Amino acid sequence: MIEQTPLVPQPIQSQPTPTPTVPPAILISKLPNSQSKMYMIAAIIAISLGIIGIFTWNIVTQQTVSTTVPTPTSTNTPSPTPVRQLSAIASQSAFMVLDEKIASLSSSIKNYIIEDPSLSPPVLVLPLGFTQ
Amino acid sequence: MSVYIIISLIFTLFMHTYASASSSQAYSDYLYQFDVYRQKYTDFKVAKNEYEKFKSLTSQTEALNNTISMLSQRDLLLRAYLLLLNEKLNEDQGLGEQDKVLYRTLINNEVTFLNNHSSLVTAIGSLNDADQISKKLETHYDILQASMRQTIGGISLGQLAIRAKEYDIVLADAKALINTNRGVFSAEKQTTLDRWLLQITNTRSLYQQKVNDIAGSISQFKDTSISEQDRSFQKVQRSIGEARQYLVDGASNLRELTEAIRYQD
Repeated sequence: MIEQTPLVPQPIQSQPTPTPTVPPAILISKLPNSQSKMYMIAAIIAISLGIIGIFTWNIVTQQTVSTTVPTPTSTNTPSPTPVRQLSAIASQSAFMVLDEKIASLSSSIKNYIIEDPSLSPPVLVLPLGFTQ
Repeated sequence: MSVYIIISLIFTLFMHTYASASSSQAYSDYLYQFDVYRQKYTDFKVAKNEYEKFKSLTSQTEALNNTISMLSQRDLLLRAYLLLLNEKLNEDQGLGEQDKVLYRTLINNEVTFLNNHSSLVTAIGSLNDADQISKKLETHYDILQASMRQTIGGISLGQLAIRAKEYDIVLADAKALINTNRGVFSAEKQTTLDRWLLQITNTRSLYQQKVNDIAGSISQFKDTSISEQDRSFQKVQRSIGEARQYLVDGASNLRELTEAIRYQD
C-alpha cells in the first residue's frame, strides 16, 4: 500500500533577481585621443550633411510651388474664320449707295418718336361750378 | 445750270428752317398761353370762392371780371394749340395733300368756333351769362377734342409715311440691283435672295395694312365721348408702334440682304 501524503502547497521560494549588467559608459574623454577625434569629425560631417539636406529640400519645394506661367507665343497656325470672297456687285457704286441708304433708313426709323410730347392736348376743367 | 441747283438747294434749306422755326414758335406761344391760363384760372377760382363766401356786390364784380378773363384766355389757349397743330401739318412731308386738306379743314372749323366763342365772351354781362357761354364750349368740347386727336393721329401717320417712302426707294433699289446682276450668284443663292426680297415686300404690305387700319380708327373719333376717344387714341398709338415695328423689321432684313449680296458665297 502506498501511503498517500497530502499535498501541501510549498511556499515559493524567492529566486534571487538577476541584476542587469550595464555596460560601462564609453566616455570620449576616456577614449584615446585618435579615436575621440574620429568621432568628432564624424559628428560634424553628419550635422553638415543634415543642414545641406534641409537647405536643398527647401529650395526644391519652393521651385515646385512658384511655377511661372509660360507666356503664350504667337504661332503661325491659321485662324478658323474663313475669308469670304467679295462678290462682283460689292464693288459697284449702286451697291455702295444702297448700303448707305439702308443705314440712313435704319437710323431714321429708330429715331422716330411715336408720341410727340409737344403735341399733347391741353387738359382743362371746363364747368365754372357757380352755385346758383 | 449748277447755279440754279445751288440756289434751289439754299431755298429749300431756308424753307425747311423757316418751317421748323414756325413750329417751334407756335409751340413757345402755346406754352406761354398755357402759363397765362393757369394764372387766370387760379385768379378765377379765388374770386369765385370769395364771391360764394361773402355774396357781396364787390366780390360778385370781381368774380365776373375774373371769369371773363379766364374764359377769354381759355379760348386763346385752345386756339394756340390748334395753330401749333396747323404748323406741324405745314411741316409734314409724308401726308398726301388730300389728308392735309381734311385736317386743315378740321382745324379751321375749330378756330372759327373759338373766334365766335371769344366774341360771345366779351359780351358777358353777368355770372349767369358766363355760365351759359361757358356751356357752349363744354357741349362742343367732344368735337373739338376729336378734331385735335384726329389731327395728331394724322401727323403721326405723316411721320411714318416719310419713313415708308424711304423704305420703298431702298427696296426698289435693292430689287433693281439684284435683277440687273442675275447670273453673278449661284442658282441656289439667287433663289434665296429672291425669297428674301419677297419677304421684305410682304413686310411692307403688312405695314400698309396696319396704317390703313389706323386711318380708319382715326376717322371714327367724332361722335364719341372724350373717355372713349382717350381709349381709341391709346389704341391708335399702339398700332402706330406696331406699324413702325414692321418698318424696323423690314430695314433689318434689307441690311441682311445687302450683307448677302456683298459676298460671293
